[in-house]
Amino acid sequence: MIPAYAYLWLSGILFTIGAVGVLIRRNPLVMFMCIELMLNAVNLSFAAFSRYLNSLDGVAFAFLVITVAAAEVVVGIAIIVQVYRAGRAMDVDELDLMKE
Amino acid sequence: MSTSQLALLILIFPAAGALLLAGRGWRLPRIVTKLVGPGVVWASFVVTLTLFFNNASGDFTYWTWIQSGSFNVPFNILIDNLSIFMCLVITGVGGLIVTYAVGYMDKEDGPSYARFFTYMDVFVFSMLLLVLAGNFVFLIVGWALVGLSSYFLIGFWYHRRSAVLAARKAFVMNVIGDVGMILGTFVVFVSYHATTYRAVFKALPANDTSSLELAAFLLLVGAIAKSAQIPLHTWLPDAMEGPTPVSALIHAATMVTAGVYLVGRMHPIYDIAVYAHGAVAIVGAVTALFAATIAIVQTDIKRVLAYSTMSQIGYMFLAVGIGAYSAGFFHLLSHAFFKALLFMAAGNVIHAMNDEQDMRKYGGLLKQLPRTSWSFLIGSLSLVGVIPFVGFFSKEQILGAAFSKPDASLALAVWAFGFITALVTGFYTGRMWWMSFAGKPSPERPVEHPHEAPSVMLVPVFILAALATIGGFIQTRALGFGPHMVDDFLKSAVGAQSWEGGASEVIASLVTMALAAVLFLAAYRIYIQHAWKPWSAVVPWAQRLLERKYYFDELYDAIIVRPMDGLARGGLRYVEDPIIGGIVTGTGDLAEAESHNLSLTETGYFRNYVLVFVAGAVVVAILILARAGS
Amino acid sequence: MIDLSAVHIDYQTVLPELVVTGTIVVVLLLDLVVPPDRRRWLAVVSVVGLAIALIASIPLWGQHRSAFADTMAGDSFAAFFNVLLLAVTILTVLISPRYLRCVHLDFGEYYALVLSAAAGMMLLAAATSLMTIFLGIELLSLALYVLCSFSRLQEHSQESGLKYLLLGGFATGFLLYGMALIYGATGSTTLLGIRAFVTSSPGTNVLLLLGIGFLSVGLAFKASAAPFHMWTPDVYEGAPTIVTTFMSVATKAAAFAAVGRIFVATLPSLEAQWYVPLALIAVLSMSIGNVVAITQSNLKRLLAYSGIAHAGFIFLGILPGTTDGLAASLFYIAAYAAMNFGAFAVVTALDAKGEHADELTYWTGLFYRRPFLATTMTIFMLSLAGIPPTVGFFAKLFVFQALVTAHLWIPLIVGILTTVISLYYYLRVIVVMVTVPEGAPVEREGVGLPMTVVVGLSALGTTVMGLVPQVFGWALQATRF
Repeated sequence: MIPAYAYLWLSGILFTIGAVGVLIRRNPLVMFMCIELMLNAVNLSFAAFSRYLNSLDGVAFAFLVITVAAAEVVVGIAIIVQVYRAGRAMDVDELDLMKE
Repeated sequence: MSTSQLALLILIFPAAGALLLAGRGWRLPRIVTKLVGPGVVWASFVVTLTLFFNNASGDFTYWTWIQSGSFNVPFNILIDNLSIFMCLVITGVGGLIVTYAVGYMDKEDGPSYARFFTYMDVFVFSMLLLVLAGNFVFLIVGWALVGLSSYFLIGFWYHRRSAVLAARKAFVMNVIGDVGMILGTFVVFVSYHATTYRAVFKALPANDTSSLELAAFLLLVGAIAKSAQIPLHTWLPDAMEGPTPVSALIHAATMVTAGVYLVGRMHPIYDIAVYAHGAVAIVGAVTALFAATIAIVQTDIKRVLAYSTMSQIGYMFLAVGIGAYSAGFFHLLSHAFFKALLFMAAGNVIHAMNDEQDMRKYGGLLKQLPRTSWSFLIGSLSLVGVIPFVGFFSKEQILGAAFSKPDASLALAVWAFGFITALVTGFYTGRMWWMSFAGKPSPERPVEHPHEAPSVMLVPVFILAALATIGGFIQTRALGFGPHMVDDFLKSAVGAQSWEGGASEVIASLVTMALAAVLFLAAYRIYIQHAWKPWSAVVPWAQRLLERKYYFDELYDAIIVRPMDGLARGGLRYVEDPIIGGIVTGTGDLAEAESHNLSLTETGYFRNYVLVFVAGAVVVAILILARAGS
Repeated sequence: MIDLSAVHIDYQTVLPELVVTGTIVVVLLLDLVVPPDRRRWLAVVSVVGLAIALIASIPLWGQHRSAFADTMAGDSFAAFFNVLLLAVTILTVLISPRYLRCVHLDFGEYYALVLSAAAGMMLLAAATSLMTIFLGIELLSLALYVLCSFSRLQEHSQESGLKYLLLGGFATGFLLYGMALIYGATGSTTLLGIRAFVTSSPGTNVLLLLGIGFLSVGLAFKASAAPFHMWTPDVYEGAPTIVTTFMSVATKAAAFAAVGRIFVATLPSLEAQWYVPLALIAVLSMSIGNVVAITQSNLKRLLAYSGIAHAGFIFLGILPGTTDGLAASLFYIAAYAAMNFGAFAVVTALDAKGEHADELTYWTGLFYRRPFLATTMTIFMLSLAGIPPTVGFFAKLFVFQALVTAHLWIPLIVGILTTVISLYYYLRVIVVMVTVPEGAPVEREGVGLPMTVVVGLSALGTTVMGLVPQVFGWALQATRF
């Protein structure tokens, strides 16, 4: 059996990859995917903890996260498409209308 | 009406006036502003007089703040002889000044005119709240409001850049004092778990403690800032940028004396905290001499008066610092009379001279503005301290008390300062009066045939001149005999002076007066007859030192303003701009080039946000884990 | 296994949220049948629904109820925030129709989105489980992402929505990871369970502490506290002003409700551990907010930085880890709600007509053009600056007093010093308004009765709330968990 900490390490690594992705990618869609990766890394943690603690709370939480993430994607994609339609390049570095 | 209702009424009148003028003032006819502005102050004066004649006293709680643990703040008004005394000065002298302002500010257009009286009424309200408050929290409320209204009044002519800068300077200095007050109150609260004066004074320890000293010193910071004493004094001369009635009301008669009131009100604390108490006297003595010497070289008539105000408040600090509280408050009263008189008379001159304030450009006004000139002379002689004017009795009582205090080398030392200051005062006052009113008209005078001010501006001056002439006879203790009404009145609030002077004290007083008067006349020989070489020609380095005001502004500039400025600029340039401001102008190309490579350090605009976020998260994680180990 | 039949659903506890959710459905359906020129009726329906929810919240006062297996609480704390949030939402909806018509954004779903954001905030205030906290945060965030980018034709608005979305999602990741770690460490998702675990096993638990750290990062983001504040100025500036008005007040309040429940009600025994990071957040927020605000020439950005600074002040009350300190924070939140809402409402009123009403130059001489708005704005600025006798002064006083009692001197000194700095830019706004411009025309055109009432009420609250002692009493009572 694979020990619990292996899942936690994997989850941590996935989370970090996601965070680094948000940090270095410029396309909002890809950034958004990286955020999804972070959320799913957390889901892995929840599932692992749930199994390890023998309680269902974690699994329920993971389902909740999946549902909410889906809703977030709906809103997110809509906004990204709006920005794209407005003729802006798909690059967050150009989101610079507001600065002081 | 009961005393408690009357006490509240004192506050309500100016508050209501300010609200009315703020809300509708500039749309109502001008006459309404003229009536309401001073009217509400006089109404408060009448109420105060009623309390005065009824011998009212008491500590009235109107409503209670929530009891949060031991933190209990009531809104209470403390009516005792000290607060009534202060209210009489504020509303009485204040009423005269606001009335005078009706004429002085007449050149302003409708909105500005109403705005001015709104600020004035707000100021009077704040000052009354300051002296009537029965606990530390509302004391701070009044204290801060006074600073705020003074900020607005100094910067009243906002289109003058110098006025705005002066207002800001005054505000910053005052806020430093406020911080001292607030911290002092915290220390008091932490030590004695109370906020009302009554409860705090009851809980005071019998012997000196370090926390009590700390509280007293912190409160002293507040007093020093508000009363423009060394080293927080640099704002007062600049504050003369405000309209002259403002200078008379705030920077002579009332606000700047708040520090004296504070020390008097807190006298149970200062009586125990001997080091802080000594510091009060030292600060006062040093400021008195320091400011008086600077006044010798000033050429702007209002600045001379400003430095003389600092110097006279130094006397008051000196008095309350050695425990001669009622002498200090007598000088506060007398100073309110003669300094308000001087400011308003100076205002009349400035008014007649088309806003010229340089004394060198006056000269020979005695014949053309006789009423103002003679009034100014009464104020000047009072300031110098000549019998029978009020200034003699109050100043000499302070010096006498310092001279005769038994077993106190400190008191004798501050007496020496006070003595020299009195002589310097005689000289610079003489210089001011002779230069402005005597001799021949200056060729640079802006107005050839000046006109006397309208009667609304003259009558308050005459009333104050009368008070400055006869006011001294309510207390002639400086001569060793006669009435001592102020001392008797304040005895219940600040206690009686614990020592009595002897004949030597009276002799010292008369000698001081004689020497000061001689110097007053000496100024005539120097500046009008040019009979003697001016002292500045003898010691030019001293002249320079005084003209630069002992380099205090330069010092603050070098050690505070410029480093702070640099810090703010640097912070903006190197911290906020690259992160928040994104691409700074001129580095656009560079940013463009950088945005093509995916290095972590030179990310684009939005990704900097993410970077800061991650850095913050890492720091938080490290900090929370670092504590885990310990 | 969870035995669902044992889950007790206490309807009184969730009634306010249920009413608001029901109103969302009603508004969405009505939007299909109401003709475009009658959309203001949607606002009326929303206000009625919110008012009913407000009334339904009051009976929760003084109770200790819980619902859904300890995941939601019906207590004074929830009632306090429900009333506050619902009042803010009602005021927002009241001034919305006129503004939306002026800027051509009069769409029915706006009201549904505001209502769902409000529902999320209420859920967050009542949440006593990591799951419901997460749900509340997401519910309010999703609605706000859309609201921020609501102006479909305005690039600023689009950009602000996208920034908020990306950073918000990123913050959610941290928040969730923190929750997962806490769950893993304690074996429980309810705050009760976590508290029980923390008190029974006092040893150092790295997993738990790391979880708390990430959780506080996520919450600090929502509260727009430094260094997680970077989105705030951009989003506040770009979003439609009415949305900024709403979110600047309500989101912060809701986020602090969760902070209070987690740190003060659940984890007071770990105060020694979480004190340093939270103190750092508070100190950074006060310093950055107040210093950078000085350089701002756009009023929405200025208020955004001021909001960051105020988040820092609210955090100060959390630092002692006592309920008395939390009460000071609660009072501060109520005060902040009144004064900041009022200030933004004035911006909204002006924004409804001018193109660049949020630029400070537009405000020159406002006192002579619009005396009412300028006077109330003066009150709000004085209060935000903490000048007595406005409520802002007393809010700061209570928070500082909490720090004094707990002997936390460093945050106290930073708080006082930054307050001093903040005076400068708040007073600048007042000075700009009283400056007489050359030939100022008097504007006779009104701003509408609802706006007058709402701004007037905010000004009244700002002046009176500090003087009525009961309010702080309520804050104290609300923190008796």
